[in-house]
Amino acid sequence: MYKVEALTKSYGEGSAYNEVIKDVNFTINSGEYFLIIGPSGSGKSTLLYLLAGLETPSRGSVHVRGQDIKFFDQNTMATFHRINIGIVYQSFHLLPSFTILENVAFPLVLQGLRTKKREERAMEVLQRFGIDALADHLPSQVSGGQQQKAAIARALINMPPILLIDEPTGNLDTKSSQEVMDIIEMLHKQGGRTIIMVTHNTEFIKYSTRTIHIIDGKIYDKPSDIPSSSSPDLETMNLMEKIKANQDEDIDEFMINPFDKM
Amino acid sequence: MRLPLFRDGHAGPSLQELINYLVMRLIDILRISIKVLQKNFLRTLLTTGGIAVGIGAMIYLVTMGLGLEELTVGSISKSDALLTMDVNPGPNEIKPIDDSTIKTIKSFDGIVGVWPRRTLSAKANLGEKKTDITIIAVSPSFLQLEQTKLVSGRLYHDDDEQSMVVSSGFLKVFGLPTKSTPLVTFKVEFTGVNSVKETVVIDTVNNFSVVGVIEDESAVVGYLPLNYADTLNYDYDNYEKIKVKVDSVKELQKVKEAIVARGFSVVTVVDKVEEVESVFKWIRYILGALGIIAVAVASIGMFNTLTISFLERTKEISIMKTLGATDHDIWRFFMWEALILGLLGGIMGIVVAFFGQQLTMLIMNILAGLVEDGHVVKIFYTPMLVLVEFLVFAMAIAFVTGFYPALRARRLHPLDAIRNE
Repeated sequence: MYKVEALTKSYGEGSAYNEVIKDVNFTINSGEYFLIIGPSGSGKSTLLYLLAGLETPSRGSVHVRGQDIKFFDQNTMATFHRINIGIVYQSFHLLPSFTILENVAFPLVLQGLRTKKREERAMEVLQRFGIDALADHLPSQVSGGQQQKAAIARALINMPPILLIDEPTGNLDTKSSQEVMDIIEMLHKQGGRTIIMVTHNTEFIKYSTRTIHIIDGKIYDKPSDIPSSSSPDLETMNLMEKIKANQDEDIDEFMINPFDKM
Repeated sequence: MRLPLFRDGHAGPSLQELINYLVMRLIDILRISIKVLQKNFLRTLLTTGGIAVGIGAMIYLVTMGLGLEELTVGSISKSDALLTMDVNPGPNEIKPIDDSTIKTIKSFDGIVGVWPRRTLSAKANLGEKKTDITIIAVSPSFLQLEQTKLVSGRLYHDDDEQSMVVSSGFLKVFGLPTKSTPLVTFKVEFTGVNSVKETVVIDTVNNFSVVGVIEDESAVVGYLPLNYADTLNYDYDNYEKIKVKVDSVKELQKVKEAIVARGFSVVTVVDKVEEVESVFKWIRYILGALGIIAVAVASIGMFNTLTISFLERTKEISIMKTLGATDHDIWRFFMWEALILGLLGGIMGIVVAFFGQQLTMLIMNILAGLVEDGHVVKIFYTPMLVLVEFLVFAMAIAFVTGFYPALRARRLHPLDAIRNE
């Protein structure tokens, strides 16, 4: 489904030149639960945006079903975003002035579906995730976990064959994280979707069908391939994850949803 | 059910489906724009308020200009005046007006009447006092057509003898009250110029009585019946001018052209109306220009609002784009938002202008009540077309001011706002 060849993404020029993704090659097959794992600042979000067509490669290519998305015109790209992929972000990115129901139904607005039909469909998805009671609430009126469920519901409303997920549990407490992990697992198993997720959370490894590691913009198939000079090493990372998992309850207090303040 | 990854190879939508799709999207885009405006209610209110004041001021001033024009033109063109024209001798008086001229004009279609005017010179005497006076010899109909207003007494009749209507200036010369008809008689010596250019008395009439007074302090003038003037010892063949009345406005232009073709010059009330209209056109422009200043200030406010709205919503725009909104969709959200603001501002502007007009009329009524004999005239004239024009104008402003923020929103990269987090 996805074929990534010699993909490089850099920002700036001269002394400000910064290569975030460095000559990356991999393929993703249809129906895979593909995990890209790496620490903060490793370039994993940029890689996801490149796969989503939201970033343009500096060099190399991203092919989806044989088509190089770099050459999509504006309308084809919009259609690609609307129909073929669903994106879930760490910070949920719900539209603050829209209710949960309207947020979930928004991609159908762009599709030109009638109000009644799109609300019915959005309600179905919300019911599936157990947040239909919150349909009329604004995002700022519900919890982080509920917002993330709504964001996943929105990504799924068009039943896209590909789901791109960026650190889905980064802003969630342990319980919500588990719920979200279960939902994604269910989507993979029941829907047969291709799921591509970037995360630093090693908990996801057990759900995935394949995992690659990204350190400093480079891809490694196995942790043992990672050169010891790269920092931080995976062991340290895992350790930090465990410490973090134990402290989740406390940390959650400081994880403020940006919309809550609005 | 899964949607195809790409639409290649799939049949396109039918025309009906496409129309439904476009209509649906327009309705949804309008809904979304309204939603955003509702969410920022206070800002929406203040922005439309600014536009409303600007448009309201323009409507108020322009309708006042139209009202004043209506008032002036209305008073000129009332009743018979519109159907009447003044015929003067041709340029350099090479074409004098005489009895044959009158006969010719009377033969035209649609002529109601022809009334000539002669001017004589005379000296009026009362006791020891004596003054030069201009005597205008016309039938009373001539004076009626000129809408001559009397301050006292009455007009003479066609067959009256030794009766005249005088100007108040004439009475003033003799130290008589100017607001009432004097119960005295004058001796009038009609004068002319002899062959050696000397002023000589042609005819003398004692016991000339005054039957009416016209308010005109600056002129020493007396009017008397033309029939009577013709009995005097004068040998003038020519008239100074004639008044011609036609039976309909339609005939006016035809008759005018026929008379002009015979070498005379013609002035109609319509000409005067056009003159006045051109003056008021300029007044309207000046009043409109004042209004434009108000609108310009409001436009800057609106531009500011729309730009802030864009800056506040970069993240929202980014999200919409990542969800598949095209640049054109985003552009339309912003343009509709601006157009709705413009339309609301225009409607509120009409309301503001209406209240402004009512308030002005109320104040004028109160002031008129304080003055004896004061009466209020309607100084505003508001044709429907003007209101429609201003609504369109308000939306045009919205379009212009909304264009740049909408363009910025359109050009925004989907990740611009998201990447920063």
